[in-house]
Amino acid sequence: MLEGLRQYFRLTTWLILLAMLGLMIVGMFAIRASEAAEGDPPGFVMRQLIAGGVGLAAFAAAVAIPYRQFGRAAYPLFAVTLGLLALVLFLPPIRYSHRWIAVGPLQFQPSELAKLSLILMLAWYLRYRSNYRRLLGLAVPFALTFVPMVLILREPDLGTALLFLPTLYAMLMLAGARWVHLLGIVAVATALVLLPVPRPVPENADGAADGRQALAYATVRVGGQRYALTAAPLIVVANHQVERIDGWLRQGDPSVAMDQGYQLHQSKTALACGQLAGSGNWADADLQLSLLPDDHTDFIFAVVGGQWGFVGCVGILALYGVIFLVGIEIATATYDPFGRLLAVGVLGLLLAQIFINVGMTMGLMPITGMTLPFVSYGGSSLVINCVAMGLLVNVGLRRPILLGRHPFEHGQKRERPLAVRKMHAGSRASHED
Amino acid sequence: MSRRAPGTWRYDLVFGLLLVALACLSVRLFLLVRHDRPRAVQRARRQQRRIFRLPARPGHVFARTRGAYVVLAGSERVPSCFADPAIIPDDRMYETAVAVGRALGRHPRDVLEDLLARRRKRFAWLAREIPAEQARAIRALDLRAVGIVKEWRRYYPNGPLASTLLGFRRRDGAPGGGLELALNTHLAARDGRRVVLADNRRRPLYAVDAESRPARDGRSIYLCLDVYIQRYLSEALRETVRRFNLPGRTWAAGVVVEPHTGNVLAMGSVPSFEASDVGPEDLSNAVNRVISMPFEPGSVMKPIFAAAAVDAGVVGYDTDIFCENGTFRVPRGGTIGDHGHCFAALSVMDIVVHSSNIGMAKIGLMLGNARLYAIARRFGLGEPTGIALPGEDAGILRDLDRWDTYSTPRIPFGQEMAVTSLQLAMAFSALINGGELLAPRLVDHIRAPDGQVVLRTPRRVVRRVISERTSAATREVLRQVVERGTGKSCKLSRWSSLGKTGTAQIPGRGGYVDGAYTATFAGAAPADRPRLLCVISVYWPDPKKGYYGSTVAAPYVRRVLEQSLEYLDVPGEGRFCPRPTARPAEAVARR
Repeated sequence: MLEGLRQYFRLTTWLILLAMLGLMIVGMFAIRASEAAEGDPPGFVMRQLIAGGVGLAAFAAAVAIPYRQFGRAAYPLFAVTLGLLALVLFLPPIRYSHRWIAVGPLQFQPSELAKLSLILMLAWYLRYRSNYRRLLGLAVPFALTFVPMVLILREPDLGTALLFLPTLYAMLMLAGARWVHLLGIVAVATALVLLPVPRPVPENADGAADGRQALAYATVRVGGQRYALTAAPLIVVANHQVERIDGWLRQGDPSVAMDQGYQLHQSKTALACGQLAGSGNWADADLQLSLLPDDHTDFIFAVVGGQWGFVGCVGILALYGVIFLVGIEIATATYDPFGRLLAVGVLGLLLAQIFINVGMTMGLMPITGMTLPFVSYGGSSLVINCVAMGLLVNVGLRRPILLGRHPFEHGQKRERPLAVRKMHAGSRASHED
Repeated sequence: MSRRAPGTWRYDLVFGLLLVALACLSVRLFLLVRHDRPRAVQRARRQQRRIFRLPARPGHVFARTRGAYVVLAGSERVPSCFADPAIIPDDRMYETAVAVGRALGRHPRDVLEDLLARRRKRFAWLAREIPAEQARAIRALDLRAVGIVKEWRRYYPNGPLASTLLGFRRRDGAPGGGLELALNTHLAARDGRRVVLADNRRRPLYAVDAESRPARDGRSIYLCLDVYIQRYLSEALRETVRRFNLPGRTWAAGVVVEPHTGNVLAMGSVPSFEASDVGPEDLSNAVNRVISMPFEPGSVMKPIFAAAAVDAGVVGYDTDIFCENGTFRVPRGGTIGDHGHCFAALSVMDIVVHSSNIGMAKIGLMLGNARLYAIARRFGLGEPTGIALPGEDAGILRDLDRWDTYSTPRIPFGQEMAVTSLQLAMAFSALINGGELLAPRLVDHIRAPDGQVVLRTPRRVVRRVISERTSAATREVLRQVVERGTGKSCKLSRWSSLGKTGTAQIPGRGGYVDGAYTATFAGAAPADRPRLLCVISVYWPDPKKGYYGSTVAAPYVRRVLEQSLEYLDVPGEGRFCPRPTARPAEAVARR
């Protein structure tokens, strides 16, 4: 029995498991702190503990099953996910959005599942191809990503939807898509996003009150009607999102600090009050947290900063850093294209979540609803991230014996198996030097 | 080692990005903690703390009456009505205005205007300083958006009495001159504060005792001033200004002191103002002319220089001096006349009694400039008396090196100088109290809110100016002035009195102004040991109605002395007088 388990506990497994557990424990304490600040605890810690247990079980399961089996199930899983994402749109809204499927006392976010199934699906799709090295060949992976993105945007859940693009890019980049193509797409998209579109403005509109007005590039008057030139997406997105972007762009402005920029303002205050190793004045720190909305979920990082200061925050980032380093080791050590893409996808997703979440608490990114993996309160997110880590460990545990060439080494005129090339390299050395 | 496999830059890029992103976040965080911390802590403290002001009461100012103290300036809590317009819903606006208007006796339209003017603000005054029953009516409305706060307001129960001395306070409690300003360090209250930690809805959680402090009330000032005597003086001043008024020119200043202690019992000037309701137009009247308006004194200075000459042994009161039959051509000193009189030889006493300019000029010539200057300085001319009031003028006494041969004969009868009424009073006190120049004593003592005396001002002798013998002789001379000289109109009914008149021309540009005089009288009683000294100066009375010190000032000094001595129960002398059965009008007690 023990001998059977030993194969699962290599160094990489240990490190990832410990980092994960460390993050979860810090998360529990932070949630407890934010609960204590509110005065009457709603029992988040207990629920998070249960979710953590479920997450560890899911982690074990994701490690135990050979990851190629997940690959084989990738397409059906993706289809099911799309189905759930469509279904959630027809369920009654919870907190003004269609994000959760409620089954009895449990709530489940299909968009969390979508992150994982997209990675699996993309890795499975990209593993043995090379058509994405042409511009047209990129159409399929992009399309496959956009379908769940659009569904999630309809919920609406802008934050989660935005995660998919960096994940896709990380995987395409590593799979060997041409960087000219990838950067070209980014450039065109940026131009399109920032394109000024005229929007009629009513005569008596109060400029300060309307976020769109405040964010307009310029206002022109054509034939007695005023038009505000606004970036295209600002016309589409909801009012509260415009306000968030407004609050983000005008961070130093005290007039928005108590209005559009309130959450960001409070979060930055909490972080800065944390000093290097915690404020030391618990009453003050608690009060600051009570002024910060969503402190146990999206803004848990500000709680950590307020309670344990710069040291605590850097500790969390360092734990993520451990996962990244181990993940990089796993990704480079495996020669299985599916395994490597899977590992990179998981790492890319993790980084995107961390960067957007931590960035938004510090004013580097606009505020979007987004959990901090393993730390924020939220069962779906915790379990899905555990599964993702499980997959990463899984890839690290099952390194195939290399028989063919290195995967994704494009750019040579002729692609030959590595063993052959190595031989040639050795024989040609005298000619080149 | 072989070349790196092609395409590995992709790994470097993607994996490098992972770590660079983490590093970026850390750096940003570090900057936030290092750079923004002080401001963030301040912001956090501000939004976590609610500070309640605990208003403290400013000190009172008390004046004496017979054996007790009454309030001259006090502070009382008065309710004011405010609103929180932002929390009134649109459809309740009109209702609120009507209800509040009815309770306050204001037109609902005006109330509505006040509310709408600050529609989105959290505070608007609806009525300041309302009566208690209106406050009760507002409370009875029980509106969430309308409330009552109580503020300390300064009130002056005796109306304009001594207002030029007291000064006033602005509505925010800042002192606006007079005693209120001079003693504000004692009177000022320090508001307390209660710091409370508040939750996200600004509801108080618990108090931070370390940052709170109790309110500290101001200290109370107890003056030497006597309300009754102050009232007699004010009435006398008003009366003389009413009778001899030259509109726009005339003012009168008067002061009553105790010659032996320097206590200031009354001090007033007309025109004055109402301290509890000061508008911008009152500011020119809010001047205490007793200390801040110097004038050329004239003959009233004669006894001072005569006494000093006697004290120095230059002359005696019985020394005869030839008075040139009314016209004296001073060598290199112009001509001096005796306002129509032609005196031959007069003793020094008679020079003072009949107020002979020529006689005084001759004494001046005997003394010389240096000794004249020393005398003037000795009696405190040309320097402030140091009374505890702002804006005291030093008067004008030119430096000795600017005196010439014209000064020598003229200084002794009070020309070429300017004094304030208070300087005059203190110098006269020194003449008649045995020869000691005293500092005026306005504040008797100061008490902390708990009743403990924190400051007591003792009688302070500045210097001895003449000997006691000379002083006694001078009292007799001044008694003769009232008995048979220029001051006959200051004869009292039951007491002997002494005094000296002064009728000085008012200097203008390039000489004296025609028909412009300052009428002064300094009088004291009883003559052998004066209890009270009263100085009244009337500046520029209407010359058609009278301008002599003996007609414009002396009768009013007589009135003040008469009433005050009676009020003080000073026993009459000489002739038989029945004791008064009725007390003076208890005007003060009425308030």
